[in-house]
Amino acid sequence: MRWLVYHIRSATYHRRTNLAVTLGAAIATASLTGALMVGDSMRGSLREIAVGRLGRVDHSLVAQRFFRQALADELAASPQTQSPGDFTGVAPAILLRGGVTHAELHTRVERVNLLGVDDRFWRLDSVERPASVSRLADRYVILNEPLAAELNANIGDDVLIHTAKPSAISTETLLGRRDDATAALRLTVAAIVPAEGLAAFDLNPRQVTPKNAYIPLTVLQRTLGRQDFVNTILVSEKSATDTGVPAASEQLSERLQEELQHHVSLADVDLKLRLDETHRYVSVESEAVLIEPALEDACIAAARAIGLEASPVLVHLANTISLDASSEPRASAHATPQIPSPSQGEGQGEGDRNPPKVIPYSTVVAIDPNSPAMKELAETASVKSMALAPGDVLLNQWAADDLHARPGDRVTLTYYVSGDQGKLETRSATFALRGVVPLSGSAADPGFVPEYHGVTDAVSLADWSPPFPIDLKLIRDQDEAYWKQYRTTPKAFVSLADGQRLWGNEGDRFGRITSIRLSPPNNGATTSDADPHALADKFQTELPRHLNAAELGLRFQSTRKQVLQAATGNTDFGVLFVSFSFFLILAAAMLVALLFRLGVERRAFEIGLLLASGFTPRTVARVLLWDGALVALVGGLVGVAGAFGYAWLMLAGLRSWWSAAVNTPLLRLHAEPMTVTIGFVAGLFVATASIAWSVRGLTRRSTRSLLDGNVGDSGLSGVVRRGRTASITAVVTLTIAVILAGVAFSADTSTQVAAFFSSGSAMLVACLAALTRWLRAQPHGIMHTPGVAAVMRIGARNARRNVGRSLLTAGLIASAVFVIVSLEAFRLDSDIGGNDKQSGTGGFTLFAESAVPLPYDVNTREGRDALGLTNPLLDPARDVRFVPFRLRPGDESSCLNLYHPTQPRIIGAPDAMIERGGFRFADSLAETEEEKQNPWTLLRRTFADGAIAAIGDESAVMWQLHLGLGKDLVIKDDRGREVKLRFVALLKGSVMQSEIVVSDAQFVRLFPSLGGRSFFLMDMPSADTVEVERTLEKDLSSYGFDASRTSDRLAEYFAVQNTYISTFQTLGGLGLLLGTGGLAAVLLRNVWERRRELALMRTVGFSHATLAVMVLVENAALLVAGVLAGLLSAALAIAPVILKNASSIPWSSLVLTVGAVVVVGMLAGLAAVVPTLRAPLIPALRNE
Amino acid sequence: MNAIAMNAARSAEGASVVDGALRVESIGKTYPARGRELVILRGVSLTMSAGDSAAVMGPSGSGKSTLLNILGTLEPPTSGRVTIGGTDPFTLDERGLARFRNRTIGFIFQEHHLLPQCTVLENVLLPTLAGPREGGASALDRARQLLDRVGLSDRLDHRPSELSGGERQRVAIARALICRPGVLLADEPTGNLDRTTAEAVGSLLLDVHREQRAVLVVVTHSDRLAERFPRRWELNDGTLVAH
Repeated sequence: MRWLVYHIRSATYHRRTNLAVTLGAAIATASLTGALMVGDSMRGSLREIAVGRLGRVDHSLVAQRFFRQALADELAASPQTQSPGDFTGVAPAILLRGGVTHAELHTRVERVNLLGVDDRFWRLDSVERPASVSRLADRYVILNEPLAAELNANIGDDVLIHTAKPSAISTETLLGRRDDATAALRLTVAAIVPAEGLAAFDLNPRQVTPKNAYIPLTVLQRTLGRQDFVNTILVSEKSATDTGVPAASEQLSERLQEELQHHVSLADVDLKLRLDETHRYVSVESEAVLIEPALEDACIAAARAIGLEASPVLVHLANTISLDASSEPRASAHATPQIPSPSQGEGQGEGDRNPPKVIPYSTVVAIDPNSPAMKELAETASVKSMALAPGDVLLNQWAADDLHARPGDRVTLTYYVSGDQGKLETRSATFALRGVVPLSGSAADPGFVPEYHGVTDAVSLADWSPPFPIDLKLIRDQDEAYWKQYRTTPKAFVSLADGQRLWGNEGDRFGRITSIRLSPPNNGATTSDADPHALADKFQTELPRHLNAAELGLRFQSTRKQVLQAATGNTDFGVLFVSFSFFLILAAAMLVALLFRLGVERRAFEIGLLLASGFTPRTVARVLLWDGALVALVGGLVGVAGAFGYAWLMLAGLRSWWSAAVNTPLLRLHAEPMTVTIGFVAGLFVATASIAWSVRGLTRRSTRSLLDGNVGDSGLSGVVRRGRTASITAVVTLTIAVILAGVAFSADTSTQVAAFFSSGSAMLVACLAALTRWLRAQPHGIMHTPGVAAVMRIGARNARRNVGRSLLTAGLIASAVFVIVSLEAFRLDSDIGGNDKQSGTGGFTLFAESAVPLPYDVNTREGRDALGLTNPLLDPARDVRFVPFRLRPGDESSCLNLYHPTQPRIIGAPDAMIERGGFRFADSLAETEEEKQNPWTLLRRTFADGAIAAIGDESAVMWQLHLGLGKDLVIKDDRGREVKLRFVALLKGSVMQSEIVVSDAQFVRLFPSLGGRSFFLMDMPSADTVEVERTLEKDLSSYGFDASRTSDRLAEYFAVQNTYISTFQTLGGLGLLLGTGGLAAVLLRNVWERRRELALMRTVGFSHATLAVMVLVENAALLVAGVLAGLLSAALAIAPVILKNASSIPWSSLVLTVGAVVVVGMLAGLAAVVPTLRAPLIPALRNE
Repeated sequence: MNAIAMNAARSAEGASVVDGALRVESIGKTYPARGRELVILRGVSLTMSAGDSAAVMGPSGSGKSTLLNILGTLEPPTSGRVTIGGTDPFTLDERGLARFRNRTIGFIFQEHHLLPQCTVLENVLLPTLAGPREGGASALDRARQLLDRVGLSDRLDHRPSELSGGERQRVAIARALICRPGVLLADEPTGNLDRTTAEAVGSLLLDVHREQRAVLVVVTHSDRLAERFPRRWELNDGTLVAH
């Protein structure tokens, strides 16, 4: 006979027992495999969601600046995109964020993706679109369904769209238009499309369906004043599939970038050339007025490469030019030939002793003293020394006459500088008048000043429309006359060094010059050399070679690849659900062990026979194990089938009861073959291991005992010894529990939970040890008094018959109850803090984000007036304080985002926030006392390796970014350079989970192009919160201002962890119920083993009911012992929660769970007992 | 016939030769119980050669089964020595002891202990699964021969549940002989059988033992069975006394 035949015969013969074991193995495998499949499903669903929203877009370029739409056309016409090239579609677009309001219902939705597109965009879609969508007419807009639903909009309704008005000129510069930062348009809804394919387009993957509005590209361009300009190019790759990553994606991205580099021109980087035929030069100027440093370097390098002189120029506006008070008044030495001097104009004669003191609103040029223009000025001014030294000024003749100034006088300029958040500061500087230049040649060139709409094109000074206040009362007739004749011709010249020192912006982030004058060396040896057209052509051809498009923000990304990387997620839901299912798997394993053991015990004689026949104990153990493995194998195969059901149920739970953990209904079942295999093998291992554990030592029993069918405990001495061990264990662990509880009461909040949990765990061990001691103890006293008490004593005593079995079942129940109940200690309560500065809210009541950065300081009356915030509630006197942060938009790094954040949101904390401090910290790198008192000051720490100090929330940093304190997060700055953000402190349970915080100063260094403030924390009297929130959202709707309570946001974050706890408790409860079933199996076995005794008791007169009570008391003793041990230990573990806020504990669900366990346990026991007691008497006595 | 000749005879049969000469020297057996020692056997000695048979009788609790278990190496004596075929089995390691038991000793139990999931033939073959892999076909032949010998050649593929008590016990006898043991030990082999069946089984046992030239020790309450044995001992107060 082959062993296989033996195993199969054994399995078939003992099929009833084996069926139960198979069921246990199936449950273990189904739980394990199903849990792993949840991980597959999550990853698969995230991938589907993210990739689905890309349509066929594989690469994208999204820039802060606007560039020529024709760039997309040039890329599309390049050989790379022509068949058989690698790219199949190129679409220009405008991507912005904004708000949409229903024109009639006034429902408002913020954080909407606004897409300006044409039909080329829709050709990149994976869904076929009708012409009404792909060729949208002007005045119409397409909404996707989520947006339309939230707006309550239908086709034909009008909507108002607000967004930021892009400008090359930053609102943080003097000439930035803070009062024109937003754009609005009113459109009619033409179609509402389901959120699939590009109708849910989003480059930042997140599981929440984006709300998108699609506007005709030309309409949006017109509204923004950027005709023929876009900020986005989308490219489709030829070899891409819908779900896979093209193999050569990274290389193709590089080729796209190379192709882009070949086509980028001046207009794409906001540069333009102005040709001056009169003075024979070419001026390189910027739409941003200031030329950014990278462009300055490129232009100068390009000029040198083609042998041109490049003279940087900085122009500023002097509010006033006046003689310093120490200068003596004197008569004008030179009368201005064409413009009458003020004295002559006013009928005063020469030598008047009361000259005008102030010349208003004059352009002043700061120029390199060694530049050709400056040399010419110096010569005409008869300045003896070659260079205009720092501290020197040249005035033109008109200004000198007007002021009656002479060389040697001291001239004072007053001017504006733009401060933080739109603050204007008036400053002054005094110079030594070095010379006077006649109004001719270079000195009479208005071309020093770049074009600025509203100023340079104004008819008169009085018509000026600058973005800062001017006092029209200062303007005199002669000033208007000067403007009429000379326009922007500068009245004063200073050195470039002086100009950059006085008028530069912080760190020169926006640039330090306003133009570069290109001229041939020596002003041109030949006519052709000096021809501005020829110069311009040469320069335009040369410059792109020196531009780095990527560093200038024109950078292609391999979007599909990034999205797929993000879709791998932060949390391995497979592992998470395996841990949630731990008790279910453990209960199933216990059931397998228990039932198999019971079955094997019934085959004790078989084991004895094999041993007596000469099989070694090891061989016999192997035989049993193979018997069990065969059963486990069948159970595993059944379990794999059941795993699909388990996974489906878990996903249904995540879509409904546990939706707070994932925030998406778009979860579908996915199962990878490898996962199923791993789950099957793991389940098989668990079941087989349980079986191996259950038969351990069995073959070591005496053969004689086994032949007698006896597998019980060894002799009495062993009982006594093990009972003593249990006593010692109980005393020691109880002592530890008490000590830990004592320590816990005096511990701080952060360690209290852990201390109490440890105390509870020690108490659990003590309880189980005490139970062991009781089970092993010899009964005392003689039962001689009839009655219910005696019956109950017999029943309780019967629990001692098989100590191992009893302890296993009671222990499982106790452990499960303990874990399920004590998890309550880890529930997070968002209703904490309020105005407590040291809480998770930092003492802030509201937080907000605006789609358009606010250009004014909302903490000042002037700022609020400028923003139209007139509600008295917002008066600073009412203690409504804003802390504004700069914001680099990106991926949320909170637990609400299931995707891995590849480009996390970053905010810049102002000094006010750093000084204020607040929030709770889990840990920090604080060393000094000041840092320990206020870890926010660590943001000012510098590192030798150039890393930048950052603060993040502990949960986000550890679980989303997989980093920790002192670890680095690598990001890319505005110029595409990699920078390390080093975590110097971790916030605990804060409202800032979604953002990484750096100092404002470092933020400006990293992202100089991002101006204004878009993220706000606000504190105010609690009573005002609702009204303030409403007012802000209404009055700042054009900025897309969206405010929320910090406690609500905390609740959302905490809901994730609390949902995980609930999930664990639910599945743990199922495991507990399954364990209770095991208890019933144990009881059934016990009763069967004692059938002769029970039959004898019936023979001597015990009724069925009495015997049932006796047996059920045995069951109840173990059940209640387990439940009480678990509850007592759990109560200790959650003592802090009980003491602090007992009402927060979900008593009803806990009572329901534990109650269900007791009821099911008793019912199962009853079901096990009744048939046995009703068995025929005589056969039982005969042991048949 | 001396032992060497017997072994030679068995060799001539092509069987594995096991010298079943049994020598028991003053063995004792005690068990600890509540602070004192429970003496089951004291100073038991006996010698048996191949082909010898003996019945051991005594009241319940006298230690008959304990003596049988010691002779069958199922449990060691507390004192004294046992040798079978010149080997003290209790000096062997676990594997050696199992192999020794497999080749040297055949058990017949009162409860027969047939595996209910196996056929009659398979039950007889069970001990061969613990032995060396060679000789599988010869083991099959021998099993058939033995079953034929015990009169069950037409029941080879039947399950134990389809046999009567006597038939089951005959299968147990065949199983005990499959490995040609030198020692056959039977614990109340007819205890669960009616008189007629018990007579038949008893006769069969004695016949096959003689044919196989093994040492046969039977523990029994039955005087009728015991009378058929040339040697009879009684265990009384732990001591073996010739009857």
